[in-house]
Amino acid sequence: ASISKSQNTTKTTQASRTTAEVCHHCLHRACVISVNNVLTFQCFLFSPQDWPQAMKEYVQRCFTACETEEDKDRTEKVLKEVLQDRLKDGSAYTIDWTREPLPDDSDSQSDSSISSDLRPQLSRRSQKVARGRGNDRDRGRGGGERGRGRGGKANRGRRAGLDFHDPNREAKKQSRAARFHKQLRSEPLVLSINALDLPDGTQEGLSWEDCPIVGTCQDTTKSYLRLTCAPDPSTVRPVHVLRKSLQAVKAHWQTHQDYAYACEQMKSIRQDLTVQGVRTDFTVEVYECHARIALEKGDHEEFNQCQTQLKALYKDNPSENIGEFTAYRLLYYIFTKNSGDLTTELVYLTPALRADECVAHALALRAAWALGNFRRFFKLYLEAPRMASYLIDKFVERERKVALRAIVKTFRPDLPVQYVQSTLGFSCLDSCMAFLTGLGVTFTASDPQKIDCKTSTASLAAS
Amino acid sequence: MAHITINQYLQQVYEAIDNRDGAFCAELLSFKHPHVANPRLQLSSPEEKCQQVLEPPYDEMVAAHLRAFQSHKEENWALPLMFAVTLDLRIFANNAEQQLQKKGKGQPGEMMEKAAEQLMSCFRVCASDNRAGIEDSKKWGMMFLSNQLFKIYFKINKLHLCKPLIRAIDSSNLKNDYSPAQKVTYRYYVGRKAMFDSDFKPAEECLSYSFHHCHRSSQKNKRMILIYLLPVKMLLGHMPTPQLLKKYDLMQFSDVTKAVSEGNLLLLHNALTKHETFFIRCGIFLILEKLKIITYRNLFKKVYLLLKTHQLPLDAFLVALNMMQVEDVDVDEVQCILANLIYMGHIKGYISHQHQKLVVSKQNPFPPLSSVS
Repeated sequence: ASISKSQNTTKTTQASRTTAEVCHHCLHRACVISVNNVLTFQCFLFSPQDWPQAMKEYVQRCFTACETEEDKDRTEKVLKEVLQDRLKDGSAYTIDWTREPLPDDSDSQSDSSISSDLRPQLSRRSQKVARGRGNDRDRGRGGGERGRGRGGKANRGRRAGLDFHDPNREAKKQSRAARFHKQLRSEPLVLSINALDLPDGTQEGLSWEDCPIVGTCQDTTKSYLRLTCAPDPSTVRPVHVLRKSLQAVKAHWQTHQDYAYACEQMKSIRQDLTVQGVRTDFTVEVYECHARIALEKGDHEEFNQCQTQLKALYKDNPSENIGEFTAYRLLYYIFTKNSGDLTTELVYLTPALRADECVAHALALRAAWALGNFRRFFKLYLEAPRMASYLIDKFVERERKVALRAIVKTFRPDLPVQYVQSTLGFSCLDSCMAFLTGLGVTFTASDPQKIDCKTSTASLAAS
Repeated sequence: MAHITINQYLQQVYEAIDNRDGAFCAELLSFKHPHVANPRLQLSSPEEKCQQVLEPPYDEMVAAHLRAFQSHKEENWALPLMFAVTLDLRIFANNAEQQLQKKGKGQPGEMMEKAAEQLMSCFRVCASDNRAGIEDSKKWGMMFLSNQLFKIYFKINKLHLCKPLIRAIDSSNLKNDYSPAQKVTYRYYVGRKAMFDSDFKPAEECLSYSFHHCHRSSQKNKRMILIYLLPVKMLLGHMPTPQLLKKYDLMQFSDVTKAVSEGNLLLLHNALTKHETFFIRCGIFLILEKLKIITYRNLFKKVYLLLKTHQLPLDAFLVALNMMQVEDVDVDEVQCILANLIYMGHIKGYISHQHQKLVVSKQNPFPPLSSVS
């Protein structure tokens, strides 16, 4: 959106290009636009500056003297440096702008109103500008890789070692010498990349999370607090305590079904494992447990978090449930319609994994879904192994709607509800009826157990 | 190049900058250039030397070999410089990713995303260049950067991020004037994105352009384009000739092609299974799967042509499927498949559940594939 906006304003800007104004904020001419004949500056990069009136008039004069667009571009470039310097050191408010020469005149070095330390800068720049324009006649379309052949060749000869024939050599040498008097950097350059050892002794790139600790806390339960710094070992439970904690949470969930409590306890167990750097079979067990609890509750976000961690953990600690959770991952991608990650997942499926009961089921479901084979899809839904149906539940309604649309559009003149019930995997007639009436499906006058397909198509399209 | 001193090297960089020789300067800052092999240039802290010879930001830039060129508000001669540097950035990010993965650290895609952020800011600089003079405009850098960004986004599966880039280039008045090489790459990625979004007609246009304008000598690139062009064309009903497949070493597609044209579901299933790994790695397996629908359509069309009536018993289709050794299919599933074909526009007609028949239109009941979707 921002790109097209600037495109639009470009057009406006170009329409009012005859203006001799420069933006008061960034000193960039392209920033100036005319809105209802009022000049406005569309950039707010810098805080607004109070330009002395005399300076504004100077700017006007500079541009009025320009004949071509190229002149204006060049002038703007020069002005920018000069004006910014003057504003910064305050001389903008003290000098006599009426006696300030226009940029084109800077070759004549006799004007005394330019302070001496600025003069070499100005002349050097306009020299550069003039030279550049002349030499690059054959640049043409500069951007592409082909540019290599063009502008380059003309100048190739000049760079062979030390050049004795460059007429500007002396001038360049002098300006380089002059530079040592004017440090363009106020401090010596220090690169900040690869600086693993920062001045204060800490190491960049390592955080407190990378230094595992050993916990000593013996409490079975513990509330969850997000950590912002390394925790006190006395608040962290060692693994043998955590085993008991896990058992306690499982039991609590089974009897009380208090999801908030269970989730919090699981998170704090996970945290204790993380800060102690424990990545073992037990860690896998914890995440699998939390994932299952989240599934039961329908919390697909928490489930996805756990499932993502499991994927990484399985690399070094494959459990016997790897098939089950791989299947859940596939189903999750169908839910989120993430075909990119789905394809990636397929790449990494080994033949052993494909043979796993859960994975095979998920793959078959995916294939049915991809081809719109709702008959097969819902058949598989009813046969879902382990906890897969909890996940599929998340998108069953969506798929039923899609299937119903196709059915109602393609069958004529009517269709028994019973057909829809069995095809779309409803356990009983009542739930099917509720679904249909909820979507505005209409039934035949002669038989209320038959769907009137034609009229239903219209009502479905509206829903 | 391999023996010059640091002073000579810096001198060359300085002169290149001074002469606005973007192309040569780019070489001096590219990791593909031989100068990187020169041990005399490998200083642990080159900052001071660079600072002596070069003005900011070239001192830092050269010292780090990696910096954007923000100071060039008015010109674009340094674009080749940017191209070299950003290309290296992407390659480094890729290598960093692989190294991190080996160590099991870091989130996948993290390095690439960071690189993408850098490239994106370069892109913004180029896109917002509102100079009057086209020759000096940084807009010339937009397509190259887009192509680099596309590569990253495809790698990290964040295709939706391509959209603003495509919009920006589309609305630019330079879009037809970039170099052919850049345009070919650009259309290739735009075509693949369209494929991903199931916009097959635009995908075909882009990928066809890419294929035809790709330079004859780049067989590898032509083959890559073809890998994506073929499935799209097949979905639109155009099968490749065996000669084409042979020429580009893509015989994996030959059985698929044959199966689809004949309506042979068994052959299709076998062909897809046989080369599944290849298709999955290329990322076209899911698209090729959709050819199953086309195959059903072709098979059922044969049934229609054989029976010569427009009231076709569902059983006939079941028989046809069984003949193709498709197991585990019942009449209900046949109805389901037919319903999909009708819904998608491949068959003009309706199903009578009561009479267990498919009733097709008397006129053109199986419209040509290219006119559908």
